[in-house]
Amino acid sequence: MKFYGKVKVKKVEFMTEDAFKMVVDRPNDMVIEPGQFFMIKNVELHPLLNRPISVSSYNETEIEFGIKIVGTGTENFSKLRVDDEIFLMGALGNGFDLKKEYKKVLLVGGGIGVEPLKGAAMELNKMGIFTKMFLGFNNECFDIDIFKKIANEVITFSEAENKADFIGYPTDILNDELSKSDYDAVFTCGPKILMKKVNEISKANNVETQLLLEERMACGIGACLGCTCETVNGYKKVCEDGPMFYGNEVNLNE
Amino acid sequence: MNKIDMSVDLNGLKLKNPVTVASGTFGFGEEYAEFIDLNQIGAISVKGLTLKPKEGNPPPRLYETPMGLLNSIGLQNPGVEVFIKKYIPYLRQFDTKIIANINGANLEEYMEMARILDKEDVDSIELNISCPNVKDGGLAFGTNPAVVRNIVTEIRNCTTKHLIVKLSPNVTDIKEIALIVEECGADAISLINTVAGMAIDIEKQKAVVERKVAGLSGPAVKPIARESKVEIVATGILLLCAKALAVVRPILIPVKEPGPFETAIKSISSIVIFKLLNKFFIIGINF
Ligand SMILES: Cc1cc2nc3c(=O)[nH]c(=O)nc-3n(C[C@H](O)[C@H](O)[C@H](O)COP(=O)(O)OP(=O)(O)OC[C@H]3O[C@@H](n4cnc5c(N)ncnc54)[C@H](O)[C@@H]3O)c2cc1C
Ligand SMILES: Cc1cc2nc3c(=O)[nH]c(=O)nc-3n(C[C@H](O)[C@H](O)[C@H](O)COP(=O)(O)O)c2cc1C
Ligand code: FES
Repeated sequence: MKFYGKVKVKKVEFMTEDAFKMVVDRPNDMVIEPGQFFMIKNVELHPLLNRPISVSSYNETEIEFGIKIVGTGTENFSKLRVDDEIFLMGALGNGFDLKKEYKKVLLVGGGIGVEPLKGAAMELNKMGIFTKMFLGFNNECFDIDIFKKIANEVITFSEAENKADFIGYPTDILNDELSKSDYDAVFTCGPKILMKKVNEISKANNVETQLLLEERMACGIGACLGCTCETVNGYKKVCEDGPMFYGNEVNLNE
Repeated sequence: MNKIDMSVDLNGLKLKNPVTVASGTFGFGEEYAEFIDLNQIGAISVKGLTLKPKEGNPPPRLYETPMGLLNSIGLQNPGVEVFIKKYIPYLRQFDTKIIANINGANLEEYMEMARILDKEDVDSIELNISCPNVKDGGLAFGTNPAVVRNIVTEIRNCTTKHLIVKLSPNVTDIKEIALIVEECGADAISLINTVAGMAIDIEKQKAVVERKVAGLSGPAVKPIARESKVEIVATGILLLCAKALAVVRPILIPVKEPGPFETAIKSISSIVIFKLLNKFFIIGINF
């Protein structure tokens, strides 16, 4: 059985003005794969629906989420205090496919989308697979020390000056990177526009892309048919068939 | 703990308890089996079925409103054949009643659905003449009294199964429709389908969903369900129980003799919740 119930909040810590980390107790026997998500809800009735949030990192006792405040739901989460309770449901969906035959993987994240890549880098690292990360931010970088511990190489990008290794976007040098080195796969998560460009560039370099899609969700488990996305094989449910899709399956147009 | 008898008889459809899940919010039950014991639910109304598989509407399909949800699913379903081959046997493993929610683009399709399911192992047929999310059929059938009279009469002639008719709140007088439905031989009515609504994306200056109109559900529409002139049973309270996982709400009302039934249900609804609270650890929002 998958978990559904209340868990306690262990930590809420802001990383930037509008992005924070939330750590909660990990229930016993819960299986988590990087790229999977949880449906999360505060114990008050409002707002109505659970919010889908990807797992960032995890250990035996804790699960960590990286969340950006965009509306009421995420703002409410940011106001939680230690020992407050939340409803948690998951882990849900299909995460990244960590293939044993991979030797070298590039992980490209943008904004809060860098967070779900953390768990992926951790697991790839354990498998002895070489990982390089391109992390893009619109201003201040966050969690870089942590990423540097779990990935073999980390390169940061920021739209602002003097904040990161490069000014600009991860996609600015992605083509160079992929053409000069043999990557088996690119994992990406972030704004749609970023994932679309990453997907195009990897395709041009014949590198497989795994990306995490987002769609509005109600149930998160495939029952309501609300989170449809278009793929080459027709409509799919992001919550159940994804959120990980291969770049060549999906249509990332707005 | 002593077992409390919570069984209800919806005019021929006997449920062991009055907790049912509304069509479209609970898939075919399978999706929720990892989280709750399906044996605990009185009846499951499955996702709206059509003769042929239906792809549904393009994304986006959901938009949350203050305490409500607009959906534009468009009856995506694998078709009645898959339901019969795969999901009836699946659901029969559990001690719960199966309600088949049927839809058609025209009268003939509705009738064909009823004829097909009449021969299958379902406990009830729920005639959906109130879906706002499809171009043909749906709401168009449920708002015109003459059309309602015709379709319910025809469907009644196609099946001896227990027959529920699901009504739309988008009418001037729902009681008028309900009385026609009763007269034409339906055993129960189901209230309410979603309320037609629309949301605008201000930046894009267009409706949020492609069909423009979508169906509003959730706590926001509870007062509308309540106001419906026919007797309405225990809606809000059960909603609170079920909403933890999704937008699930049972609203089934026997057309004949609603009085005693309603009284009975009202008086036991708190027990239902209590029992649910104990057994469905998923519940417990704001009591
Ligand atoms: C599988 C999945 C994983 C996700 N993982 C994370 C994560 O790890 N960290 C994180 O910060 N966010 C994540 N999101 C996005 C997050 O779920 C939404 O930002 C959140 O639901 C917004 O809720 P709200 O009440 O704060 O904002 P709302 O008031 O509901 O919406 C504010 C704005 O966000 C947009 N929005 C709302 N829901 C979504 C959605 N599901 N997808 C895209 N845009 C949306 C709305 O259109 C609106 O413009 C994920 C989404 C999905 C589907
Ligand atoms: C996502 C979604 C899908 C639905 N699909 C169907 C359907 O296939 N057939 C149907 O009769 N009603 C469908 N409905 C309507 C519900 O069964 C119910 O009548 C409606 O949501 C109002 O109840 P509520 O406010 O308690 O949710 C759907 C509702 C939602 C939210
Ligand atoms: S959110 Fe309900 S099917 Fe995906």
